[in-house]
Amino acid sequence: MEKNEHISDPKKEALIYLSILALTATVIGIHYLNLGIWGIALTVAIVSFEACLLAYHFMHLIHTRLIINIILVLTVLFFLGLVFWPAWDIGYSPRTPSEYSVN
Amino acid sequence: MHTNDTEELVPYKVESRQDTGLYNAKLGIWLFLASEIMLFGSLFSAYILLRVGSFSWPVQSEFLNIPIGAINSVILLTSSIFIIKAWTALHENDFKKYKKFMTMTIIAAIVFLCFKGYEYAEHFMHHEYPSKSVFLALYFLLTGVHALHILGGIIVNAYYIGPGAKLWSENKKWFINRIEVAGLYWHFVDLVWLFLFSTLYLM
Repeated sequence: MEKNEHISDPKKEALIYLSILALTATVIGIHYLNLGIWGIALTVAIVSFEACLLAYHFMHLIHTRLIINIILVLTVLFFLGLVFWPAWDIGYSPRTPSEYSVN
Repeated sequence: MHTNDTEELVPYKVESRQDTGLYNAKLGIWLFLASEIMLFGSLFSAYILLRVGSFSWPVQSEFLNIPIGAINSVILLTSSIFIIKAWTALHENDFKKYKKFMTMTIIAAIVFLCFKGYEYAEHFMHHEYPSKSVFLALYFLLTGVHALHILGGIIVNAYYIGPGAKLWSENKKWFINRIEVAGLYWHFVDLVWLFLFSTLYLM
């Protein structure tokens, strides 16, 4: 049986809800500050934190068995590999301008 | 088929398995959500690689309506709260309250789709089609796939306040489990939107 399977705390839910809203507002604020690459890094960090709040509290991942957490961590690792391996290739492989036909 | 008969045919619909500690549907939905992470992950990956690999990229916020995107974020997040309330109401044996919150979840989802439709209509009025640029193609693909997920969620949630609600009178715990699984899917759709909003509208 899962831990605290049927516990729902309205105060905690309200706090998480307001926190995610506040963080979303922060991310919008960062957009208007035009911080360049730092703005993108900060946005990714904040949105990842929002996603963790949502997954761990609303989806009760915090009370879910370890096997589910392992499956999800492995999935996220595969995703990161999917993104960074080709991105690394783009960054380090020399290309001529004509090869960049995307605009 | 009678509930007891199906319980014999397919065990662990209600009770958790000893080995995984989860009932079938919950293990199933988590595996499904893992595959969904890979689906959206591959789309985000395509977006990142095309953006990083291009010499020029449009200022995305000039194409998109940030206030509408922000309103949609609030709507979807609020609908997540509604579905939690619906699930909690079932634990309190209050079916009327469950129906109220599940209906509110569906209404919120429909409002979200209406705003999305309005945004799409604005793009089409300005002749901004997927064929116009790589960014617009990615925007319509990512938000379109997400909107289809919202539509799927609406259909499932509507089923559970319509014909699917019969199960409540037959097997309460099984029904609660089904709503929990539907809720997990709904939160995931909300989570994906958080990333879509920040990636497409704000970066």
